[in-house]
Amino acid sequence: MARKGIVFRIITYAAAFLLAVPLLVILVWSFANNWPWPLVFPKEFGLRGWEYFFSPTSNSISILLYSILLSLTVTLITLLVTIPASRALALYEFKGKKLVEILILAPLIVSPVAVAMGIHQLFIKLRLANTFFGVVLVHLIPCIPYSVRILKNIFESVGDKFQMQGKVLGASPIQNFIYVTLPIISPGILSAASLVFTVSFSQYFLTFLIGGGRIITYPMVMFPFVQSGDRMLASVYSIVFILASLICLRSMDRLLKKYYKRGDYFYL
Amino acid sequence: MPQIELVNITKSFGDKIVLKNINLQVEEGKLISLLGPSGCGKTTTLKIIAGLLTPDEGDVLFDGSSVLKVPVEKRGAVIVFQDYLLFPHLSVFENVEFGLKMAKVDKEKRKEKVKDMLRLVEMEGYEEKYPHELSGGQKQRVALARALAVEPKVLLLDEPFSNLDTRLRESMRDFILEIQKKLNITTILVTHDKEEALMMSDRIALMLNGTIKQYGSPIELYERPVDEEVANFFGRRNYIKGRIEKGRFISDIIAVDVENIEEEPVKAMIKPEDMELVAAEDAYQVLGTVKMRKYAGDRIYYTIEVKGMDMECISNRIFNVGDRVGINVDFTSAVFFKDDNEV
Repeated sequence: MARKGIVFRIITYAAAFLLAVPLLVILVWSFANNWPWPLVFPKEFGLRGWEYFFSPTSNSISILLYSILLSLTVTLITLLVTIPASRALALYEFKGKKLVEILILAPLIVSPVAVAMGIHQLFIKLRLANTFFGVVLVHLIPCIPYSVRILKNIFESVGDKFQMQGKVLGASPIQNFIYVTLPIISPGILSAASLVFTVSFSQYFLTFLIGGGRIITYPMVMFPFVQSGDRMLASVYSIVFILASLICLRSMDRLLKKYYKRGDYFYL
Repeated sequence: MPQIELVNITKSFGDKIVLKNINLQVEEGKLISLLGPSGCGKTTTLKIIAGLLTPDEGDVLFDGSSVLKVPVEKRGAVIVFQDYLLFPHLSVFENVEFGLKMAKVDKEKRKEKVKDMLRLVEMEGYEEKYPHELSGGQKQRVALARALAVEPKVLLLDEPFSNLDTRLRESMRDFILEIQKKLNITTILVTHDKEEALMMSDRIALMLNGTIKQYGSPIELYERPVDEEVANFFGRRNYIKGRIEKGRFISDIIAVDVENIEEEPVKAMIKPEDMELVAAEDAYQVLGTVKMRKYAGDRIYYTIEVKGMDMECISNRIFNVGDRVGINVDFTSAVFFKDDNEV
């Protein structure tokens, strides 16, 4: 038993170490003016990176907020679309169900990047290119399959028995959805929302193409620094990126918990 | 006028016919059972009454008027499901309150009603608990309170005791029966447990293969089954082939006086408990050999071989396999069926 405990501990610490080290390196880099090989610690520290980030000329904060708003919009629309779709796929039998499923999950197999050119042409015709809504729409493509996969599983495991119970107790379809379905699938909604947010928040190419340089998101301002090798700035942007994601996910979790007291007693 | 009435209900799923011509009348305030093996269509019948399923043909009447067009949520027939289905995200109080909240009853009244219901099911003090903190019996009480809170026209119980252990099952049976009588609420109970149906019901509808075989009081079904299928459902039965001649039943192993039976080939159905086992020297009717014995404590099940026929008997006297024993057959509660296989 004791040996097993030790092995388990070593594995746990190793995993934590592997996760933490890159983050630590980034953190140190964000304060390091330069950090040439073979130094273990950088010699010169400075605040240039952070100063630039918070300076009004870089516009970073407003781009960050804009980016968060965009990803939240994507998350919300994805959920609105995928909750009913997943429910139908999980609980109903209908003609062409397999085909619908394959089409929905297709972006997981064929990357949307591959068809982005075609989408771009189409969006230009529809006057959706270079617009906020156009970018939101194109983000939906990689986001929907993740959400459907998660929610469909949840609906399959919960079934429609609670809906039946709600109905016989006098709940109208809308009441049933608000008071029974939503709270019961809320843990699934949270995981789907987190994943979708992250997928949308880190989109680079699709935003770049469809946004046409008019719609600037956070990864787009961050990418040049990573590419050009300004590691100090790249690290600063990375840290903010991670923090922003964490804060957003945490607040979604909070929001959901506030409405529906959650617990691990679901899916009995 | 019956309160709940099913008229010629037929229902099939795909090409599988689940219900064939179901007719059923339930008087107000009675508890009736739909009794049958699994897959006989009893739960489907329950769902049709509640409105969760629509029959292919036939009509469902509440107080004489059709409710087929009334949606589930307005019909006033509440099902308590087998696994209780308490909403996991709601406390006991909120669960019981659910139906009232959906009906937009005002808050003070809701509170009052929930309190009354929890008192009725003896679950006061559990208001703030969550379903996962309750035992099976407690969950059932809450589910019952939640169903009763909306004052349904009819209470539908779907195998309510099958998830409880034996002792709890017995006390919950009494408990539900007591509440049912107290509130005088029309109740339809679905069960596969014959003892449960016999002990609880005012009337039993025995369902086999999608039809109601017999509908009557527990005593009628048990003592005067309409055919062998019904008789066999309640346990093992003995059938003695014979014929009626001048008011006498005559068979290979026994001949007795009987009344009012037409002269034709018949089978006499005798329940195992009407076969009294006695020591061989006390026998005046039938002699046989003990072939098998199953000891169950308060009673002993015997298979007795009599002239090549196996007779099932229940006794509390102890005999050993191979013993010669006598059987005193009590013909007063025998049921005679026409013997169709007569050569």
